[in-house]
Amino acid sequence: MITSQSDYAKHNDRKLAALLQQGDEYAYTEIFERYKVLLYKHAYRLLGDEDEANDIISDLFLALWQKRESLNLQVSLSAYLYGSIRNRIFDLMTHQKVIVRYLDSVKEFIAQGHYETDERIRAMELAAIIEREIAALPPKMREVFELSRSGEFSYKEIGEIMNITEGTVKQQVHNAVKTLRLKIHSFLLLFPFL
Amino acid sequence: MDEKEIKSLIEKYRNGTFSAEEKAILESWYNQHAANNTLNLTDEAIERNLEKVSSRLPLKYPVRNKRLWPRIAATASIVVLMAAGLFYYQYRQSSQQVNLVAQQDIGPGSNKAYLTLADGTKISLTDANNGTIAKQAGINITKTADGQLIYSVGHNEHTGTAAAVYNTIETPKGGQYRVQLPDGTEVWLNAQSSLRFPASFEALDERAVELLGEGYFQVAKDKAHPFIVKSNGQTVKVLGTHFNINSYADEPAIKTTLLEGLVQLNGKMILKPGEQATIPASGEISIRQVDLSEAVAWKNGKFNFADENIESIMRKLARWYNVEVSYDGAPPTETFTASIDRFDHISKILDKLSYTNNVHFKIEGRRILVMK
Repeated sequence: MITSQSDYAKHNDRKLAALLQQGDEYAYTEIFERYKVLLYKHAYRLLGDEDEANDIISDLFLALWQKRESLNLQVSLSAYLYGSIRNRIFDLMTHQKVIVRYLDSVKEFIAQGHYETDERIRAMELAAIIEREIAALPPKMREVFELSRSGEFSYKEIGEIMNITEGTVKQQVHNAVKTLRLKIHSFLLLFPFL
Repeated sequence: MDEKEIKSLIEKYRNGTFSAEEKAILESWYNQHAANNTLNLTDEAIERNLEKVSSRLPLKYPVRNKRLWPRIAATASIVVLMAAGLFYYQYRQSSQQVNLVAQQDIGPGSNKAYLTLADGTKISLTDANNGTIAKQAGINITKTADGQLIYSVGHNEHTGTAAAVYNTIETPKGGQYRVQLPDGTEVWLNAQSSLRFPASFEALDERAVELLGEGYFQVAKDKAHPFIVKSNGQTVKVLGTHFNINSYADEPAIKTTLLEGLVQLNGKMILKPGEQATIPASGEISIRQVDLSEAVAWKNGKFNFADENIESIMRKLARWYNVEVSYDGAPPTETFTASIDRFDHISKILDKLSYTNNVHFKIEGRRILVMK
């Protein structure tokens, strides 16, 4: 067997997902290698607990392997992975011990009454957060990540799904991040004791 | 909004019975939470956690067997080829022997080990339930589901400055286990091996452990406290991270292979990544570049033989499958090259080796007879 991991590193996400569906273990491993740091940081940011983050990521990737044949992604691989994490975190939150941790945060969020009603903008906010996490990667890791995603930037994809131009998406994301920052800022103004 | 209401909000979201507003609230909160929190986790901690995660997943990394092909040119070695034509021809010829081998079969090893505490109490890790199984010097010893033992400092516990408390973890023939030491260092133990180590590294200048058999180490960085592995008279001082030590009593030499970082052997020579030092019972120490996948194949669930003589192969199989090996006359002198899954039944491996027609086997209970 003379293949090397760098062969798989050249495939974009869409190609990897297709290979995974066919049962390619190397593609599966490449997906893990490509996303593991980002997903871990994201999960940890939300959970604040290393072991819980470990569990979420392991469960996610175990399920990904087990369900590989029926995968048929309607969204991008990254959207699928991040969406999966979000669902699993919500599931975790329904547990007694965990919900206590988030109680105040959710209560206060609801109390302040401002939330984004436009689904597309929420999707873009999340995309913006992810882009920011990518930008925060060490330069070499970020470069590798960007190169391997070539042909499938989230901006372009969102544009395709929503029938707006890539440029508009970029602008929207930029605005969304600004809005997010403003929201956070005003939120903090309302609750100075936080 | 209380706990119950929030819980029901989430449940509605997850089973699809939410209203647009409910969805908006939860997702907006999620975004805000994800954007807000600062990440107070070091890169090393992330790497460590991801290693743990990796071990739970069916990952597969292609093996760079570039050096394998030039060896085929050498006349001394016989390669076990899976090429369809050759395979079929050999199979036809030796079908009788193959059938003999297939009559009885032996399953592979599994996660089995014993832990001996400082006071001599011996715990069978295979039989123990998951969760905390013991405490030593303020350290909690926890068994996790995947055949791993973790040593961690108990909450609100100070391990104190008492003399170091030693524990020993031992694997029998047919066993393997993983242990995480209190400093985060991970050790994989192969079959018929043992590791003796202090339950707590606190108040010790050095992190010194003793190995018999074979272990793969991933040492947690701590420049102030060097990590030292002693085995059969050899001392390895770790200045880096990932290495494998093969030090069985019935092997002619101790082999230390370095994957990452730097190690110092016996206070003198320094090993660099990709190098393997062979220290025989008597004679010169030799260092050479090796194919790393061979040295650590066992840890990745494989056997990787390259130009190996049958006795050496059989010793490895004997430890993992917990069998006795005997030879009918002088052992075959040819060498073998093959990459095999460690979790296959022994017949699969013996079949592959016998396709070369240079060796044949007979399984009788837990005894393997090796014939020309």
